[in-house]
Amino acid sequence: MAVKALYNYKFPARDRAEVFGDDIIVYAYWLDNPFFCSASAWRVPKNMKWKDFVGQIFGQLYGLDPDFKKVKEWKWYHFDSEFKPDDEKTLSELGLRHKSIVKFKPA
Amino acid sequence: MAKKKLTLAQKYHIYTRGLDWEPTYVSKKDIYPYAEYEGIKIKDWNKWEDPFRMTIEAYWKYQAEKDRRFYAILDGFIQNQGHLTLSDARYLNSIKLFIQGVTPLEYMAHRGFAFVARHLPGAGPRTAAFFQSMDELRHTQIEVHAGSNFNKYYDGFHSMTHMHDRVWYLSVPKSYFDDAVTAGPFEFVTAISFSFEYALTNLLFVPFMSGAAYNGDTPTMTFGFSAQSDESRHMTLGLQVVKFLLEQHEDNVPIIQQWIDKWWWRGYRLTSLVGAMMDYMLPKRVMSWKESFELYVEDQIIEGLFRDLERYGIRPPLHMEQSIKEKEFLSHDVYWILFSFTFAAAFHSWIPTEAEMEWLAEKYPRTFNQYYRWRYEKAKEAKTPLPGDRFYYIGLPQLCQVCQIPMGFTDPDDPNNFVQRYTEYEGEIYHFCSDGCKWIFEREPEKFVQAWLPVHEIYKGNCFAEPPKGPDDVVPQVLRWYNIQTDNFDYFVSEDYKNWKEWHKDMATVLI
Repeated sequence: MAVKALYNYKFPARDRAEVFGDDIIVYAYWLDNPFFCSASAWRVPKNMKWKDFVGQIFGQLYGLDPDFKKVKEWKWYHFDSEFKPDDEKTLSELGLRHKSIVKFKPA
Repeated sequence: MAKKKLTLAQKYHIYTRGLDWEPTYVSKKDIYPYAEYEGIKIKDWNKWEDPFRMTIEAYWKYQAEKDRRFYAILDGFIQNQGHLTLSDARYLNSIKLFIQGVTPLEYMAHRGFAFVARHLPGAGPRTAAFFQSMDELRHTQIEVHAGSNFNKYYDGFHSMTHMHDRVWYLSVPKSYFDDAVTAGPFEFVTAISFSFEYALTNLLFVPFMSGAAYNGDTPTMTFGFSAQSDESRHMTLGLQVVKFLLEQHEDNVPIIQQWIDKWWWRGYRLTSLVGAMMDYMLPKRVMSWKESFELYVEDQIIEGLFRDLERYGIRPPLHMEQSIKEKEFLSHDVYWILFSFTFAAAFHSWIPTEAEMEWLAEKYPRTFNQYYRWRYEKAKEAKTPLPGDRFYYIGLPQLCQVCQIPMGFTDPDDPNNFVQRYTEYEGEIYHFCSDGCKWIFEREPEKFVQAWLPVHEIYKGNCFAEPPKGPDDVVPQVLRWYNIQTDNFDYFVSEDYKNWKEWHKDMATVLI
């Protein structure tokens, strides 16, 4: 369906990828842990290395959970598919795109 | 010969339809340009039955009387330092949410009904919408007046319109009404008069006003009674609008059904803020969200209203089942979101006291202890460098593209996780908190791709008072842009609490 309007109702998406230039929005979600009240949102460079991305989200937010340090290894998902990111690869090399969500839980 | 007195009905007819006329040199289409594009077909506007017959003359008298009563009570409250006799200052955080979130919507409703009062071709409903437009303006005024007294003593009341346009959680009510006023006149009345006023207003007003009464806030209670007597008129208008449209043409039925489906879910998501207020923010509680949902929605709306509408071919809203499944989770989810982000909000939150947790466990025997109590225990351990001995979510949340609430609604079938939905439209991805919001998006993607999502706007650099000097300056610059000063953080480190204790230091009755 489409919006009913008196005129041609077409506007660019407000948060489309090009608005963010070389950056993308990536969401992160710790599965099975509702202590964090929702997934988080991050503006990060497309060519940020995976390990730096993980360092940022764990360092700033997820490390606040007292149970965080008990976890030795994490299992990752891009949307709903399991994936095994290489630490040295960039987000775009790993197939992440604007408004991708990565989910994780203790392996 | 003495003139015969007119009956009320005759008088009303003269005052309303009697003032209407058939245009001769301008076409009706030019006068009412919005009347047809939504696809609603009206065969005969004269079939409209006025749901109430209030003349302007009676209206002034009646409203002036109510205002006199309201201002007398407000004056008495002010002169007697009534704010000191509230249950405790935590209570006012629910009124902050109300004044920042609901009062600006009253004003938007005033504008919306003024639009309808201009653009519906039928003189009967135009008059009804005109009355409602005035009501809504009056509600805005008396709410502002009631709140201005609290503004002298407490944080969070000083900047409601500015905040409404900018602050993250207020984009939830703002975007709801922006969606309604940018629809055509028929969708607007179905959205607001029917789906909101008829189906949801009791859920908003009754608990709020009884909450005010229980917690010693007589101005809000009196405002509530004053507004509620208008609301009953608004509700009859809502029902009459929908019945009239359904009776006019069978082609209207699927259109109305879709509007009901959309606006039920939008309104329900909006009232989730009320759930958090009822279950967590009132020091003296009235009833739980779940009880009020069962009474006002399940008993009165599903069993009552929608039974009545069956004969018109209308069924209960899509996704109603989901809201029933959510009733034991919703208020906890929303308060947990508000609690987590209080560092960036113009109200305070706090860890419920042990007695309050007991109440929550009793009201929610299947969910509170199992899924929520431990979070508050953990929140005491997980400290951050911010004021208050507790956890804050130091980051920005993912927001739902439609309702704009952080994506924190528990999946009742998997209670340790939140519902996550997404879709792709013209090469871009969009995320949703529920099937309801996803359905709304997919019906009108052109509208919702324009959403002003507070989190993304912060990331675009649109929400800073001045450019941040470094990562630690980001939140302070956003708060300055919001005009949040000392309004945020935990209640127990707030100015409100400090003052409250100071004002009551000689009294033995302060409980908390």
